[in-house]
Amino acid sequence: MTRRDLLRTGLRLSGRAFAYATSFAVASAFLHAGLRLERVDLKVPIMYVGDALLILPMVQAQHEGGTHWVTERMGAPGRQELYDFPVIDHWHFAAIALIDRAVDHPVVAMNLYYLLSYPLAAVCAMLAGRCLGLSLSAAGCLGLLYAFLPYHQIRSFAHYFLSSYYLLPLALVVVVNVALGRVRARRAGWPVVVMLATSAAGAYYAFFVCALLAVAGLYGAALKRSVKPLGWGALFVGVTFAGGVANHAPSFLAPRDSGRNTAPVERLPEEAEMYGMKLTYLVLPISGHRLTALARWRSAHDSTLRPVKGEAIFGTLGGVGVVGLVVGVAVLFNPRASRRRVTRAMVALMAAAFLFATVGGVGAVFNDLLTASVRAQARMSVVIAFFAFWLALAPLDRCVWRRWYFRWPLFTGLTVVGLLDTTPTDWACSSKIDSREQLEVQYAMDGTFYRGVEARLGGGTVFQLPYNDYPEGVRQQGTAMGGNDHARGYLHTTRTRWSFGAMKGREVDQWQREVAAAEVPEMLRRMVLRGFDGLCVDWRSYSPADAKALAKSVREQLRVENPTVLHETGEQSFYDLRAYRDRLKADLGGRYGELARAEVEAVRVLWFDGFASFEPLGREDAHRWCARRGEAWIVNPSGRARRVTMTMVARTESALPTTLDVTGDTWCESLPIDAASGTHTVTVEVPPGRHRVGFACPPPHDWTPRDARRHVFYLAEFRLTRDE
Amino acid sequence: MSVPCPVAPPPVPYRAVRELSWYLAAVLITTLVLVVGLRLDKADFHAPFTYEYDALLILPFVKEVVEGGHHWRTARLGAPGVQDLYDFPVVDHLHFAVIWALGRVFPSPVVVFNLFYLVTYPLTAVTALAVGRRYGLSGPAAVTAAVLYAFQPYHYLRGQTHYFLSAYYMVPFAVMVLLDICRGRLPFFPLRPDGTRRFSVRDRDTIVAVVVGLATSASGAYYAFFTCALLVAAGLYGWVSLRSVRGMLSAAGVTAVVVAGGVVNHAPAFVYQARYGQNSRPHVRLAEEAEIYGLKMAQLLLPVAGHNPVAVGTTVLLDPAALRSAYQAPLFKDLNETDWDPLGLVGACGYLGLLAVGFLPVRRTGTLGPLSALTIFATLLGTIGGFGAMFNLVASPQVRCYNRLSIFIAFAAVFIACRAVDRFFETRTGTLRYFKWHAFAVLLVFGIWDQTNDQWFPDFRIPRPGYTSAVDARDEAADKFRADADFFHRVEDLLPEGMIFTYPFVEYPEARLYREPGAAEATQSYEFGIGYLHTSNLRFSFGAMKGREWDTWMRKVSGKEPVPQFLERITLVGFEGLLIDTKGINPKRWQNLKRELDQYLGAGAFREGHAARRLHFFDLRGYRESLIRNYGPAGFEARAQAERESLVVLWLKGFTSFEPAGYEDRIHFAGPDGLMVIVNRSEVPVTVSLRMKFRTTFKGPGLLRIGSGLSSPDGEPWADELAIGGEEKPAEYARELVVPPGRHEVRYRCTPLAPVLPADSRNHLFTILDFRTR
Repeated sequence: MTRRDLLRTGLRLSGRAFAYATSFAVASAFLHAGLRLERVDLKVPIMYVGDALLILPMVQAQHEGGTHWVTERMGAPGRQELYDFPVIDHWHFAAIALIDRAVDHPVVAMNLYYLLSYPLAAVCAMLAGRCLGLSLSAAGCLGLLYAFLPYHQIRSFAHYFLSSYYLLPLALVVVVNVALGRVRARRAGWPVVVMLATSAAGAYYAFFVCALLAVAGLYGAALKRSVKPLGWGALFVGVTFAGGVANHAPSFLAPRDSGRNTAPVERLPEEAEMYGMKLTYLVLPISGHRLTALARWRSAHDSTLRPVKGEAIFGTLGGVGVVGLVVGVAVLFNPRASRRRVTRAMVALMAAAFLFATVGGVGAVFNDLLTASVRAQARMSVVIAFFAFWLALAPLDRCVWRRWYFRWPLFTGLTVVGLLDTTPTDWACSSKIDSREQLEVQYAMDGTFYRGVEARLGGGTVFQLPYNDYPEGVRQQGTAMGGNDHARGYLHTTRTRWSFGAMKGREVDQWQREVAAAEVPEMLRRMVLRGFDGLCVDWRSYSPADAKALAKSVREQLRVENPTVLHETGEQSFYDLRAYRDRLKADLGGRYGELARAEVEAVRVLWFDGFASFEPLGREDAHRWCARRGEAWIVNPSGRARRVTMTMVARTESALPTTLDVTGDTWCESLPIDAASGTHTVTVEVPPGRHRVGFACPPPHDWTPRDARRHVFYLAEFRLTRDE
Repeated sequence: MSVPCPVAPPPVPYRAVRELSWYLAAVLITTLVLVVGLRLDKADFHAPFTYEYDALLILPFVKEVVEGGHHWRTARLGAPGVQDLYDFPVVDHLHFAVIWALGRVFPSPVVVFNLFYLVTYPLTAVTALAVGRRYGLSGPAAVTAAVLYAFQPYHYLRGQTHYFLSAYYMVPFAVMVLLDICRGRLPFFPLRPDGTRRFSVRDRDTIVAVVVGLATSASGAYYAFFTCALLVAAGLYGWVSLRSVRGMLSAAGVTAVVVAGGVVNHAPAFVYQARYGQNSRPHVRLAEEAEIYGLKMAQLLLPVAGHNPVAVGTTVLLDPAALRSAYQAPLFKDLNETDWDPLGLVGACGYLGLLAVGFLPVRRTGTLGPLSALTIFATLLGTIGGFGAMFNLVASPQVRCYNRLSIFIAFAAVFIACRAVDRFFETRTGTLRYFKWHAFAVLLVFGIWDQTNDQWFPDFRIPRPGYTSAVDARDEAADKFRADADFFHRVEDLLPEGMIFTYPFVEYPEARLYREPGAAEATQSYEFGIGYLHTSNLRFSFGAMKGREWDTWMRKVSGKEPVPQFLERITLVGFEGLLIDTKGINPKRWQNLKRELDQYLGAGAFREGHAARRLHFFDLRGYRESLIRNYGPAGFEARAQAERESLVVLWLKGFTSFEPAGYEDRIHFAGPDGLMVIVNRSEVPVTVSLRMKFRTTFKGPGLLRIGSGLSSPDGEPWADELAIGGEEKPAEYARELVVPPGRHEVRYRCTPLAPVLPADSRNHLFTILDFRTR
C-alpha cells in the first residue's frame, strides 16, 4: 500500500470517525437542550419513584459491595439476595461500575449512564445503518431518530435497562446478515461478541433477537436453498443462550438446598395479552404532540374506554417510522418485490416481529404453550422501530445516492422534523425544570430524614411499615406510596440496615409478613426480639383512621409522645425501639434470650414452585392453591431436631377422588382427597437444616384448568405447631 | 402448430356427472355429519334448537318474514305503536329470501328457523366446493376442504345465536372474486384475445362478480364490509402483479357494486330516517370496541373449547381442551365472541403456512401468493389494535367485531392445506399416488373430529362429568319452548286480542341484561320477544325502537311513575294486560310491587303465572272499567287522548344518556352536534315551556348554537348562540315555544373556544342537564 493509499484510508477513517463523533455530539446536545441538563443536579436521580427505586439500590449495592446480587443492608434481619429474581444485565452493571469508579457516586454514575444511552444508541444505530448499506448521512439520521424514540424517553429511568437498547441495532445487523446468508465463518467473531453482549444486556432483547434469528435462519435457508443460514441462526441462538446461562450463573449456583422459589418471577401467560403490542400505537403520534390535530387524535385514542393498553402505549414510532411501516406493508404485499434484497429480508423480519408481538399473536401462543417468562411483547416495538426507520430512509438514500449536496440537507432536515415529531411539547421547556426542582426538594427532604434516623441510631436495624413485598410489590390501591418507596431509606444511608427487600417467599419475608400483620404489642415485641432498633412508618399507605390508631398504639407501647424523627412532610415517622427493648429485657429477665432464640430458630414451611396464595397479608396459610406438582421446604434453622405438627385441609374442587402424594425425607405419605376431604394432621421430626417436600396430585378426570396456572388442589387452614 | 393431447378428455356429459357427484358427495357427507353429530333423528323441529339470547332477536324476524313477507315492520311488537327496524337495519335480505322460500314450503316459522340454520352447512360446503374446484383442487381435496370449511367451529359455536353470521355460504364466492382480481381475471376488464383489456360488463367474470357482489351485500353488513376491505388489498395486488391500474379499477368496480347493493339493502332505512330524523341510539358503537372484539391469532390457532380428548378407554392421553381452557381464563380475560374463531388443526396449519409463505422468499405459484397476501392483510386488519381499530377511530366505529374476519382466513387456510396435500400426491410418481383418496378420507375424518367439540356425536364421545351434549341442550330448549307456548296460549285464551305491557322496561335492541341489585337472576335482552312467538293476535309493548316516541314514553312510564300513575297511564293508552318478568327484579321490591298491584288492580287481576320463567300476567280490563266509572266515558276518552297525543321530545343523532330508564333527562351528552326532535302528536299547536342547563364536558368555554324552525308565542324564531362553560352549577336556560302539529328538529352545535383534547372517541363536548317541559 502506498503512502497515498494510506493517507486516503486515514482520511476516510477519520472522516467516518468525525461523523460518528458528530452524531454523538448532536445526540448529547439535543438531550442537553431537551432535558435542560444545565439545571440538573446529577447527584439526584433523574427519577425517584416506581421501578427507578428498584434499580437504584442495585447500583448502590454494587457501589458498596461490588455486586448487585447481594445487598447486606436490605432485607433485615437477613440480607437481600437476588438469586430468586435474577437481574442479568451485567453489561450495563459493568458500564455503570466503570463510570462509578470515575465519579465515585452511584447516583451520578446511574444518571450519567442513562444520559449516555442516548448518544450510544445514536452511534450504534448509525453503525448498524452503515452495515446495512446506508450512507453516512442517512445512517446518522437513523441513529438520531432511533436514539430519541418515545420508547426511550417514556421508559426513561423507570425501565432503566430497557432504555439502554443501544446494543440492539448491532444484534439486528447479525439477524439480517443471517437472513441474507451473508455470515462467513472467517468473520463470525464479531457477531458472536455482539450476541454475548446482547445476552448480558437484558433478557427481553436477547429473547427477541433469538426469536428473530430463528425466522432469519428460515428466511436464509429458503433464500439460499441451503441449511447453512439455519445453522448460523442456531449457532447465534446457542451463543446467546449460553451467554444467558452464564449471566444467570449466580442464580443457578446458589445453594441447591435453597429450593426453587418461583414467587418473585411468577408470570402468567395471559399477561402476554395485557402487555402485547398494538399496531395503532406504533402509528399514532405521541401524546401531547406539538400539532394540536395530532394531539387530539392521540387523545381520542387514549380513551379510558379502551381495553387494557399495557406497555403498547410506549411504542410510538413517529412520522418517519410510520413511513417505514407503510413501505414495509407495500413490499410485503408486492408480488413483484425482489426476493434477494435487504429490504425484503427487513420486511419479513419486521412482519414476523409484529405477528409475534401483537396482542393474541404468536407470542401469546408461545407463552401459553412454553413459558410465560417473557410477557411484555410490546417491547418488540423497539425492534420494529429500527426496521421501520431503515425502510423509510433506505429508498430515499438510494434516490440521492450520488448527490451529496442534496443528501446532507435532506437527511438533516428529516432528522430535525423527526426529532420534533417524537419529542413532546414540554421538551426543552421550563416545565421540565419545575418538575425537576420538585424532585430535588423531595430528595433532599428524604435525605434529611433518613440521615437523621442514621444519626440517631448510629447504624442499627430498622423495620419498615407498611410491609411491601419485594420485588414487584404492588402499589396499594388509593395510596400515594409506591411499592419500592421503602428503598429510599437504603439509598440515603450508609450503615443502617432496613427490613425492606427480603426476597418474596423466603424465610425472612415470611417472618416479616407475620410480624407486620400482628397486633402492635406483639409486632413490637417480635421486632426487638429479632434485634431491630427502630421502626419507620410511611403513613401514606394508611387511611387517616388506621394511621391514627397505629400511631396511638405505637406511642402507648413505646411510652413516647412523639416520633423520634419526623419527615418534613409528616408522611414518615421514625420510632426508636431501644428503650422499649431495654424495658422488655428488664421485664422478661432471662427469658428474653430464650424468646429471642425461639424467634430466630422457629421451624418454617416455605411454599415454593407450584404453590400460590391469594389471601391477604398474614393470612396466606388460610388458602393456598397448588398445580399438579408443588414444592415446599421445611426449614429448621436450629442445631437440633425439632418435632412439629402440621394441620391442614387438602382438597380438590371435584367430587371424584384423587391422591395427593407427599414425598420428602421428613414427611412422606399418600392422602386420598376430593372436594370434601376433612382436616389432616401430621406430626414430623425435622432434623436441622432444610428439607424438601414434594407434592404431586394427578388431576381428577373431570378437571379442566380454569387458567394457565393449572391449579389442581389446595391446602386450606394450614397450621404449624412447634414442639415448644 | 397444435400439439396433440396425449389423453383425450372425457366427454362433457361424463365430466358433468362426475362434477355433480362431488357436489352430491359434499352434501351427503355434510348431512351425514349433521344427522349423526347432532342426532337430528331425535330432534323436534317445531322447537328452536337455541332459545335464548340473540336467537330471540332473530326468531321474530323469521316469523314475520314467514307470515308477513318481510321483517322491517312487526305490527304486534312495540305496542301501542309498531316495531320499525329502520333505525336498526338488518340487511341480510339474501338470507331472508331463502327463509321466505322455505316458508312457502314449511308454514311453521320455527321449523323454517331450524331448517335454514341446518341448510347453511351443506350450502356452505357447496359454495366452498365450487370455489375449490374452480381453483384447481382435485375432487377429493375439494370435498374435504368444503366439508371442513362448513364445519368450522365458527359455524356451530355461533349457531342460532349469531344466526346470520353462521350463514357464511357467500364467503367462498367473495374470496373467489378476490382471487380472480389478484390473478388477473379482472371483472369489468376482461382479457381479450389480443391481450388488451377494455371496460366491459358483459363478460362472464364480470357478471359473476356483480352477482356475487350484490349477493354479498345482501348477506350481512360484516361480510360485505370485509369483502370491500379485502377488495382494496386485492386491487392493489392485482395492480402491482399485472402492472396495470385496471387491477385496482376492477376491485373498485366490484366494491362499488357491493356498496351500491348495501345502499339498496339499506334503502328502507334511509327513507325512514330522512323522514323521521336520524336516530343513532340503537346502533351506538364505540371505536374502542374494535379492540374488545378484535382478532387474535392465538384464538385461531388453539383447539376449540371442549375439544374431544385423545383417550384409550377412559384414560385420557391428550386433552387439547385443557390447552384452550387454560388460555381462556375468565379470571384474566374478557371472554366474548373472539373465542369462537378456532380454525382447527388443518386450518391452523394452513394459516401458518400462508403466513410463512408471505414472509419467506419462496415461490408463490398459483393461488398461493394471493391467498398469502390476503391472509396477512386480513390479519393486520383484524388484529387487536390493527388497521381495523385505526379505521374505527378515523372513519366509523360501526364495524367493531373484526374477529369475524376469521371465517375469511379459515377459507384460505383450509383451502391451502388441502391444496398442499393435493399437490403432494400430484407430484408423486410411485405407488404413493394411489393413496390420495385414503389420505383425504383420513384428513376429513380427523378434521371433523378436531373441529367439532364434545357436544357433537353424543353416541361416540367420551363423556366427562358436567358436560352436556348438543342433544341435551336442544331438548332443554325444546322443553322451555313448550312450557312457554303453554303459558302464552293460556294468556291468549284469556285475552284473545289486545295489548300487553311488558314490565320491567327492557329497551330494544341490544339492551343489557336487566338485573336489579339483589336479584338472583336477570331478564335477557330479547326475552320478552317470546310472547310474540307463541301468540297470534296479542300485541306487546316490548320492541319499541330505542329513542323513538313510544320508547321514550315507556321509559318514563316504567321507570319513573309510581304504581297508580303507571297503571293509569298504560291503561289509558289501551293496554289490557300486564306481563311482569320478576327474574331481574329485587325480591323485596317485587313483594311491594305485587302488594300495590293487588291493591290497585284488585286481587283477581293476577290471572296466570309461569313458574319456570317467573312470569306473572295481570288482567287490566277490570281496572280500566273502574277508571271509566271514575272519570266517566267522556273523561276517560279525553284523558286517553291526552296520553296518546302528549308532546314527546326525542334525543336522536349525537345524543347519549347514561341515566336509568325514565331519568335520561337529567343529563344528555352530545358530541359537537346533537339532534333533538320535538313531536306534537296532536292536531293543534301546543305552547310549551322548555327549561334546561348547558355545560361543557371540558374545563373551558364553548359556543353553543341552537337552530330550529320553531318560534316563541310572539313569533320570534328559536335560534341562539350561547357561551357555555364547565361550571358546576350552570344557569338555567328557558324558552317558551309554540309547537305546531308534527315533528320539529332542533339542532345543537358546540364549538370549543379553546383547544380541547377529547377524552375518548365519542368526543362529547357538551351536556344538557335537567331538561324539563311543561
